[in-house]
Amino acid sequence: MKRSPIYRKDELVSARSLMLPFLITAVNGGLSVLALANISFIAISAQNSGEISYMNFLRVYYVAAAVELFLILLIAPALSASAVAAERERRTLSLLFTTQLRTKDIVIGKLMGAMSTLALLIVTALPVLATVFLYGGVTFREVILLLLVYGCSALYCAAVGITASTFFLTTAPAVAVSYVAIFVSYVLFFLLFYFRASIGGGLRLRVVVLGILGFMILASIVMVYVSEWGLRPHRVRRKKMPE
Amino acid sequence: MLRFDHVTKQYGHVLALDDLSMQVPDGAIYGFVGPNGAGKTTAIRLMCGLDFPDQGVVSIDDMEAGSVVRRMKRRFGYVPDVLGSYPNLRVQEYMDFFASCYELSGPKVKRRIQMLLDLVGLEDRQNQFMDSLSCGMQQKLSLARALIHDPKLLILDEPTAGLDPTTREEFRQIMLELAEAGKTILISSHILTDIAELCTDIGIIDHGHMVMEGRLQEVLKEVNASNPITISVAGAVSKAMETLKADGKVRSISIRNRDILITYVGSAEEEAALLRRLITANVPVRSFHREKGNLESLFLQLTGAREERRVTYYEAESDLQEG
Repeated sequence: MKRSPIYRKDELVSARSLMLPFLITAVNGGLSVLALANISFIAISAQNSGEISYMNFLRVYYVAAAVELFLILLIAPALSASAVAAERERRTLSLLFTTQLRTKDIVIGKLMGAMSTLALLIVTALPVLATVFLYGGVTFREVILLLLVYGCSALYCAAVGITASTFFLTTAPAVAVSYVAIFVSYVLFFLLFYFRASIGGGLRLRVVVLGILGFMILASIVMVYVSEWGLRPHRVRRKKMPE
Repeated sequence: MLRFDHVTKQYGHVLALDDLSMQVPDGAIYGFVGPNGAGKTTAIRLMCGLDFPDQGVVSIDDMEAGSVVRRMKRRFGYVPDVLGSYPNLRVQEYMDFFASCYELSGPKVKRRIQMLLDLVGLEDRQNQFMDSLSCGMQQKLSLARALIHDPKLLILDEPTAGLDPTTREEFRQIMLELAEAGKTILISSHILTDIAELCTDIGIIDHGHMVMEGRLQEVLKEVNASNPITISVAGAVSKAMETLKADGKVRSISIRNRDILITYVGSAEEEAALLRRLITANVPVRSFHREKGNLESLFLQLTGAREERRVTYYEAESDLQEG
C-alpha cells in the first residue's frame, strides 16, 4: 500500500520538531513520577502501619491508566485541530488542491499523522502500565481492552480535531471547538457508563464499553466524510451560459 | 490553451468577474494585468479549479478547469504570489513531496527534480531547509515545484514581486527558456516593465471584464496611434495654432510647458502633410513627434484616470510638557 504523501511529509516534519520528544518525555515522565510516587506512598504507609493493602497497588494501575486517557484527550485535539488550519495559515492548502491529491487523501493523511503521534505516546507509556504485572491483579485481556480504549479515544479525538480544522480558518477556534465537543462527548459517555444499571433493565459493563468504542469508530468514519466535504474547494455550479 | 467564455463570478454583493472572456493561445507568454481589485486573483482561482464560475466556462485545452477528472490537474502548474513553505523540510524533500502528490516516483523523477533545480539555480541548495532560503530562492523553488509534473500551462501570480533586479532578470531568462520549450505561460503582475519585456500577448482586466486583449506589439501600435503629437516651436505660436485649427483631423490642442500637444487622428502621411503645412506657414518647428505608447500609459489610459490623492497632514500632539 502506498503511503499517503501528506502522512509521509507530516511524519518527517514532526520528527524534526522539538515538540515530539518533548511530548513523549513529558507524558512518560509524568506517568512514571505518578506511578513511583504512588508506590512510595504505599511503601511508607506499609512501614508505618505494618499492613500492605493490595488494592493500593492496583490503584497505581488505575490512576496511571486514567491519567494517560486524560492526556490523550488533552493532546489529541491540539495535534489534529491544527493540522488543516496550519496548512491554511501557511498558504499551502490551496497549492495542495491544485495537485492530484483528493480532499480525502488530505484528510486521511492528516488523520494518520495525528494518530501516529498518539500511537507513539500510547506505546511508550506501556512500560509504566506494565508494572502492574509485577504484582498481578489485572489480566492481559484487560490491558488489551485498555489499549483498545486508548486507540479508539485517540481516533475519535483526532477525527473531531480534523473535522473542526476543516471548518475553521485558523487554529485557535478549531482547537477550542474540538475541546468543547470532546468534553461534551465524554461527559455523555461517562453518564451512560455510570447509569448503565438503570438503562433497559441494566446493561452489562462489557456491552456498554464495546458500544461506546463502536460508536467512536463509526463517528470517526462519518467525521472523515464530513471533513472531506468541508474541505472541498469547489462551489456548486449555478448556471452555464448558452453557447 | 486557456479560455474564459463569458465567465461571471460573484462573492456576496461583490461582482468579481463580469462576463469575462479571454483566450491564451498555445505557446504564448500572456501578461495578465489589471489594477488592484480588478479580478485577477479570482480569475486565477478559477483557472486552477479552486473555485467554480457562477456562469460561463473556464477551460484548459477544452477540458473544464476544476473538473473532477484528475488528469486535468496535470495540465497546469501554479506558482502563487506567496510561497507556502514547510519549515522543517529540505528543498529536495519538498520537491519529492510534490512529485508524490502527482503520483510521480522513481529514479526518473529524481533526475527530473535535479534538472529543475539546475534550471532555477538551486542545485547546490538541495539539502538546505526551506525557511533558510531567501525570498528570491523561494520563488524559484516554487517555479521548480510547479514544473515537476511537466505541465503544458504555467500560471504565475506576481512571480517577481519583491525580488531584486538580478533575480527578476534570472526569472525572465527562465521564462523565455520555458516558452522556447513550448510551454504556455500566464503571468499576472503589476510590474509592467517585466510584462512589456517578456510577454507576447497581453490581457488588461478592469472591474471584472477584459478591457483589451491581443498580441502585445499590436496593442501597443494601436495605443501609439492614440497618443498625442508634441510640437515644439521656437516662436510664432499663434500662427502654429491657426494652422493646426484649420486641420480637420486635429481633435484637440493643448499647451504643456512650451510645447503644443495635439490629439491627431490620421495616418503617418497625413501627419507628414501637417508638418509640411506648419513649415510652409513659416512656423519655426523645432520638433514634431508622436509620443510612443508604452504599457504603463496604456494601462493608465484603459483603467481610468489617476485617482486624486488627498494627503492629509496630521500634527501629532505631543504629550510631553514643553519647557
